[in-house]
Amino acid sequence: MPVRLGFSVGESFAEAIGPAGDDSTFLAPHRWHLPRKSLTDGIRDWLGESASDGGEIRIVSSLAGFALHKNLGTKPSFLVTTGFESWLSVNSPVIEGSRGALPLSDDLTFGISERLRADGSVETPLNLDDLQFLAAKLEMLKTKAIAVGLLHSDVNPIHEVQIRDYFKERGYTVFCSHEQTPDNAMVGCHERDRWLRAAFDAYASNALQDQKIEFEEALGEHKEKWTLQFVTASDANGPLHRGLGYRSSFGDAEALGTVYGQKAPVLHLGLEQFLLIESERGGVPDRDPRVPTYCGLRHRRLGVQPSSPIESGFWPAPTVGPAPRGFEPGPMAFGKAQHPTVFDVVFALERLDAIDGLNLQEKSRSRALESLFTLAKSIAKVPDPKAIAKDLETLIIERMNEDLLILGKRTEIIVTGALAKAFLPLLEARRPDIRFRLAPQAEWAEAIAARELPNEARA
Amino acid sequence: MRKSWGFAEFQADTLFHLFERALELAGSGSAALVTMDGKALHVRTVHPADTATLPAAATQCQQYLHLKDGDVALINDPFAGGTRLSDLTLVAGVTFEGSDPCDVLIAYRLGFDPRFSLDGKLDDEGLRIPPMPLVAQGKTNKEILAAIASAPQAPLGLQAALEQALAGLERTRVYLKTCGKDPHNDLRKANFKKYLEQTRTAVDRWITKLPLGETMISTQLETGERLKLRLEIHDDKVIFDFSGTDSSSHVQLTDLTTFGACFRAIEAALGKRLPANAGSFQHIQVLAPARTWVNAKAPAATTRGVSDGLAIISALAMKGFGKLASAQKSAGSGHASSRIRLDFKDGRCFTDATAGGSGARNQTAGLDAFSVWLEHESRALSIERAERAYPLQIRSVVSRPGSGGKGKWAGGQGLVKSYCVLETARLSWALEQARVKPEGIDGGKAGLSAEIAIARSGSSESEDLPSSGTLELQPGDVIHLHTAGGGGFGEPDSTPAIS
Repeated sequence: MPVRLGFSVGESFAEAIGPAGDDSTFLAPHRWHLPRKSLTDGIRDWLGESASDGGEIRIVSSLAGFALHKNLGTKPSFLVTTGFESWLSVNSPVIEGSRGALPLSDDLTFGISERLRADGSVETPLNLDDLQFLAAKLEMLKTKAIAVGLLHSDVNPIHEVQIRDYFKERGYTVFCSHEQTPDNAMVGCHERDRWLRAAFDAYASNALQDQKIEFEEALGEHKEKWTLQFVTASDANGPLHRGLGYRSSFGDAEALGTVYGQKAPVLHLGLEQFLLIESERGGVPDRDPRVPTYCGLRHRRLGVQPSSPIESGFWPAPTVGPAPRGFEPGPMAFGKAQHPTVFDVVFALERLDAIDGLNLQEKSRSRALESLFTLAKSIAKVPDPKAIAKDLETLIIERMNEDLLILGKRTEIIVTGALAKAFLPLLEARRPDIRFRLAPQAEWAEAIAARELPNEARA
Repeated sequence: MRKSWGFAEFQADTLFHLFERALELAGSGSAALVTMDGKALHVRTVHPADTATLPAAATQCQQYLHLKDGDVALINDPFAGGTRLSDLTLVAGVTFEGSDPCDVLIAYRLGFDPRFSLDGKLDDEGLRIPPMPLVAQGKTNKEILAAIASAPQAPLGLQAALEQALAGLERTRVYLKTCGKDPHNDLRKANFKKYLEQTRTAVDRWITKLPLGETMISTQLETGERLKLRLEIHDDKVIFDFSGTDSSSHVQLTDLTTFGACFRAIEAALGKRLPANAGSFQHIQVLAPARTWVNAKAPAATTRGVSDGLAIISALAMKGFGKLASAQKSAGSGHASSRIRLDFKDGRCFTDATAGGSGARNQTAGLDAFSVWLEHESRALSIERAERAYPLQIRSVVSRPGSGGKGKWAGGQGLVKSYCVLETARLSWALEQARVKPEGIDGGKAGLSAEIAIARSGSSESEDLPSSGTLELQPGDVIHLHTAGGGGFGEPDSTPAIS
C-alpha cells in the first residue's frame, strides 16, 4: 500500500500528517504558519528526502472559499441559455445590503442560442458555429474553466454535453449543470442552484489548480511519483460559500476526520475551524481532471468558530458574534488584528501555551485581555479581565453544546484538532454524560495510512 | 452557568441562540416558539408578515385543539393568525419532560405560490383551512393530508412539502426535549418570563438610538386609496398611528401583518435585527383602525396586502424615519411587485410576482430587481418548474436598462420578463408603481414606472395595458412585464453614476 499523507491548508496555517511506520520521517505531524513559511517551502522541508518515495497526498483546502470571500479568484466563463444572462445575478440573495458574492462576472457571461422545451425536446437546436465564435472570444479572455447552465438540461443534457465536448476538445475544463448526482439532490431542483453549483465548481477548480501547482513545485522532480487529491465534503450547514445558501462539490471538508468513519461523531477543534463530523456520505464524482477530488464526510460547522468575534451583543454583555472574521488579519494573538476573537479568549486564559507551531506573541495576550476588558467595561461593571475571559469561555462552551445537543443522546465523541486539548476539560465538565475521547495523533496517522476511502477519484 | 460578573444577560444570550438553533432545524421557513399563554418566545422570520402572525396561529391551534406533546395542527386562515391562504402554518406541541401538558408550541410556516384576487375575494385565493389536527398521538392523519392536497385549489407539491415540514418540526421537537433534559440548560419555563423581561429592557437601549419626535406622512395605492401614518418615537416606545387610512377592495392585510411591517421598519431604521418576541413587541404600538386596508376583516383577500401592502407600509414608515433622521433617507423604490396570474382552462393557476429596483441611499446605489419585502417571493420562481407545471414558456428575464433613476447614487434597475402562453388562458395582472414613478431624492432622478404589454400571436406589435385588469389569451400570445426602477440619490454630476 502506498504511503498516504494528509494536508490541511487554511488561511494562516498548514498542517501535515503522515503514517507511523518503519520510516520515522513521516512520524511527526507538522504545522507551520503560512505568513512565515510558504506552502511550497513547508511541504518541501517536511518531506525532505522522503519526497522521492512517492505515494498519495490528500488535501483539504480553504483556498477556494477564501478567494471567493475576498474576491481574489479567477472567475470562470459562464454559458447560459440566451435571455437568461442576468437570471443568476438577480436571483442571488442579498446580504447586508448587497448581492452575495458570485463567482461570475457579467463580462464573462455569454448567452447560447438554444432552447429545450420542458419535456426535454429540442425547440431551438444548438448551433456549433456559434461555439466557434465563442471559442475565439474565450481564448482571447484566457479562460481556463467554463461553467454551463442551460434550461431543462437536467431533463435532457444534449446541448450541455455538446458544449462540454466541444470545449473539452479545445483544452478547457468544463462544468455542466446537469452533472449532478441524486445524492446531492440537484435533480429537479431550482435551475438557479444547479447553475450556481456549476459556476462555483468552475471557480473553485481555478483556485485549487493554483494550489496544486504549489504542491507539485514542492515535490519537484518527484511529482510524478505522487497522486494528489483534494477532499470534498457534504456540508450540513454551509460549504465554502457559507451564508450564501449555495453548494459546491469543492467544500472545504476536514479530510483528516475521515479516519473515524461512523464509529462516533468527531468534534474537530482545528486552528481555523470547528466542525462536527457526523457520518459518512456518498460521493460526488471527480469532475475536474486537473484537480482530482473525492467526497469526504458530511459535517456541520459549529455556531462558534475560532475567528468568531467577541463583540457587544444585543443584550448588554459581550457575546460571540455570528460571522467568523477569518484568519486575515486573524485573531489578536498573532499580532495583527485589533479585535478579540474566540481564539483570543482561549489564548488569554493560557490554554494554548502547550501547542506547537502557533507563533503566538506573548505581548498579544495582554492586549487581548485589555480589549476584552474594555469591551465589557463599556457595557457593565466588571471585576477583572481574567474573569471576563472565563465567562466568555463558558459562553463559548454553551454554544458548542448547542451543536452537540443536535446529535441527541451520545455516549462518545472523538475530539480532534490542534485546540482539542484546550477545550477537552471544559467539555467534559459541561457534558459529564458524554465520554470525550481525544484522538491520539498516532492513531490518526495509522488510520490514514490503512483506510481505503470509499470514493476514490477516477483519475 | 457562571455569573461572576453579574451578567444575567449571558443566560438570555444563550437562550436566544438555543431558540435560534432549534428553529433552524425545522427548515428554512419562518418559525416561532410560543408559550402556552400565547406569548412569542422567539420568532425567526423569512417574511415580515410572519412576525406577529405565527404566534397568533399557534395560539389559535392550541385554543381549539389542545395540542399534546408531538401533536401537530395545520392552519392557514388569515383571520386566525395566518397571512394569506397560500401560506400554511404547522403547529406542534412540545413537552420537555414527560408527555403532558406542553411547555411550548412550535409554529412553522411554509409558503407556496400565492394566488391573488383582483376582486378582493378571499375564496378566489385558495382553500381556507381552520385549525385542523394533522398528527395526533404519533399518527399522521393521512386522510386529511390527502384531502387537502387533492383540493382543486391546493398548490402543487403540497403533500410532499407538508411531509418535509413535519419532519423538520419533529427535529426541532426532539432537540428541545434533549435540551430540556440537560440539567445545566437554561431551558426552563420559569426562565421564559425573565427572558422576555430581559429582552424588553435590552430593546429599551436600542430604541433610544432612534431620533425622538413625531411626523406625519402619507402615500397612495395605485388605485388612489390613501395610507396615512403618524409616526411617534418616544423614549421607550414607537407608535404607528394609521388613523385616516382608507379602506381598499384589493390591497388588504390584517392588523397583525401590519404590526410585522412596522417591526421590520424599526429594524431597518436601526440597521439591526432585534430578537422578535413578546418582550421586544412591547415597544411597538400599532393603531390600525378596523376596516381600513391596514386592518381588513374577513372575508377580505390578503395576498396583495401581505406583499405589496406590507412593502408600501414599510416604505412609508422608512420615509417617516428618514424625515426624523437624515441618515435614514432613501430614494423611492420599485418596492411593490408587478404581479400576474394565468388561469388555464383545466383549472391550473400560475402566479408570479416580480420586484422592481430598489431606491438608492446616501453612499449606496440601489439593487437591481430587489425588494427586501418581496425577497422570498421574488426568488421563488423557477423557470424550469413553471414550464413543467404549466402550459407556458418564459422567453427571457433581463435587466431593464435605464430604468433606475440617475443620481450620484443610481437607483436599481427593474426587470423585463416575457411569458408566452401555450394554451388558452385568462390573464389577470396588477402593477403597483405604474402611475407614480419611484421618486428620486436630494436631486436624484425618478426611476421608470412599471409597465405591461401584450404581443398577440402572429403580430409584430405589442399593445400597452393599464395597471390592472384581465384579458383572454390565445396560444402564442406573449406578455411583456416591465418592473419599476428605483429612484436615484443625489444630484447626478459630471462623474458617471455609481451603480
